[in-house]
Amino acid sequence: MRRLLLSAVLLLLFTGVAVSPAFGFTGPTLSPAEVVEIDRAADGSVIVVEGEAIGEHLRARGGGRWVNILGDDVGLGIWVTEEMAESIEYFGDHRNDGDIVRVVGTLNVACDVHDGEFDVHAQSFAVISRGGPREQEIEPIKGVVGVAGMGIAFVLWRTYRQRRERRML
Amino acid sequence: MWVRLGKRDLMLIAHYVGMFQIGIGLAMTVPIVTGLLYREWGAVLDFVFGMGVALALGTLLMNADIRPERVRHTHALAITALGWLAASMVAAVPLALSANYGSYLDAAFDALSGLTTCGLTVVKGIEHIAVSHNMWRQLMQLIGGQGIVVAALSFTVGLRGGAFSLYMAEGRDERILPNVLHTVRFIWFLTAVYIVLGTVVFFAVLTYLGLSIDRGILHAFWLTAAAFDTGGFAPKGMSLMYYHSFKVELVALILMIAGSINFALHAHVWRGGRNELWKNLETRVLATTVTAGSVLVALGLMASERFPGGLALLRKGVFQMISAHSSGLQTVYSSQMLYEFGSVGLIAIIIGMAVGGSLSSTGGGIKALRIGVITKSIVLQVKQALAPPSSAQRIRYQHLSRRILTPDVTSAAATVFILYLGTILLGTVAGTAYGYGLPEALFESVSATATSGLSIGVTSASMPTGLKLVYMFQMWVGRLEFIAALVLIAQFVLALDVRRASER
Repeated sequence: MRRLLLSAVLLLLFTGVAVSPAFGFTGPTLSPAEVVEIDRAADGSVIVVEGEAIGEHLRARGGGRWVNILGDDVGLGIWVTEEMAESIEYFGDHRNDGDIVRVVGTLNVACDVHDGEFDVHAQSFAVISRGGPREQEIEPIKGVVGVAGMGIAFVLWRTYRQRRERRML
Repeated sequence: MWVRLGKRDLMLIAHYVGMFQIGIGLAMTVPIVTGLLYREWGAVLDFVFGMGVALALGTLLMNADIRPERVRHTHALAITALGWLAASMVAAVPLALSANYGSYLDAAFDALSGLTTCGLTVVKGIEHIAVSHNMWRQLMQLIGGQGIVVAALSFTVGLRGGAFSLYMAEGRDERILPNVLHTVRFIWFLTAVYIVLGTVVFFAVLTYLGLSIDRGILHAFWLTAAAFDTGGFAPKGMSLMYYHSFKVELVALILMIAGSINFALHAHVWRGGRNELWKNLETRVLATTVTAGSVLVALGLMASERFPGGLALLRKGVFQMISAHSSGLQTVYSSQMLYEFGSVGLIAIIIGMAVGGSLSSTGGGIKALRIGVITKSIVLQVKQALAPPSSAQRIRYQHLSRRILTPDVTSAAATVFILYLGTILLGTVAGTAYGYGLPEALFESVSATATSGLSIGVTSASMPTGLKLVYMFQMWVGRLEFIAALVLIAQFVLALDVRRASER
């Protein structure tokens, strides 16, 4: 029984260590804004970052894709595999809120592979919340005021033309 | 003796300022059409509102003088200085109505920054901004890059004389063609050529990277406007870092260089005078400052021991150096300039921003020719000191023709140089007074005055209101190269003086 318990504990520990970079990493979850301002001593370490996927995924030189994620109004480039990129359904833009993704990956203040880019190379990538269409705010009063302004402008323009013609006579 | 403007003069000025506002109002047709195509009904209403306000105000002001006299030099300066402010104020209206700006002041900050092609921004949530609002931000750069007055002159709406004075008042020093109207049309023609070429090349690169056709077209046009007009309002908050592509940066680099070159030099080369490109004092100064600055930035980056060298130094160092002279597009985060560039790199970027581009280009800054003239003047002084007292020393320089350096030219260059330094000092003092560190305050102050648009992180929506106003002032006077703005300020002071005297 003792042996069995010890084996189970060792197995759990081993599994935890083996998969920790990908799934069980327990460091603090950062926002892209925090990553950009991070202490440069963290360069090359594994971090967890969470943010909204924005725009679209882009072709990366030498393979893989780029996904930009947003948090606290700051964007951060994440280098991911094709499969990871395809798991994103919504990218944030004027029409949609993007999926919120959690990335565990290696931080590169000046990436050796990507010509000095400030990026994160994803080891694990998960969509933790789906995005969706954004609601448009429509305030008809703005249109009413605008059209009224144009009407006033038209009257003033005609007045200007008439006064000018009268002066020229 | 100070020349005071009378009531008749003020009416004439109001008339032309109204015309600029009408022009801005009519330009809002573009974002309205964009909004309709993308079914952004809320944003369309923002622009309908903005257009109504701009047209109503503009026509009201036009009625101030129904048959304006010929525009004199003083009028031209006042019209230009006031026109830029008035145009910015109406251009800000639709932005203020969007959810991306915290207040009207923030919207006015971005409108002025766009029109002056500065590029400093206080926008919030740009990743979710309506396409039509993004279009307006880019369009403002395009209009401002060529100049509001140039835009108005190209249509010559009701202008009675004074076209050259107006053209010169906007910080342009050269007439490219004998007729000023032909000159402004040439400027627009050249811009159109670069915009079309830039958009086509960017489109090819962006769609290859994975942008859809429509986003590819929009981003291609916007990036071209930002790069050629040295504006710096990128369509994404990450600036060029969003695309993670050297090809995108290379196209932007070429457009930024083209935008920083004097329109007169473009015309010269266009007519076959290619040698001028290498002999011209302006291009020589620019080549020197860019090369020296790039070496310093590269040294700074290498000292950080993080950058792999080679292409990284080109993409992050040389690019930022050229961008400092021109558009303010970024391939590094603001904080990286502080942490990774080192003091030497940061100083090089600050000097690059201060030097800026060429005269009569879309770029800002003190301008390369003035730096060249002042340097030549120093050489002349030394030569004179070394020469026998009886000998007269002369120094020549090449700028579209062979010229002799005269005291008038040196004095004009030195005046603008001193005014730039004074304004930079003002912004730096203001920044430090608000609690920012000296490097940050100096960097942002130079960027605002030189309308470069690079930011080290000071400029944001949460920045103090007073500092926003200071930077707006700096962008305005910097874009107009002081004289027009100072004339307006002097007239305002004189008007106050008259009022005080009459009260006594």
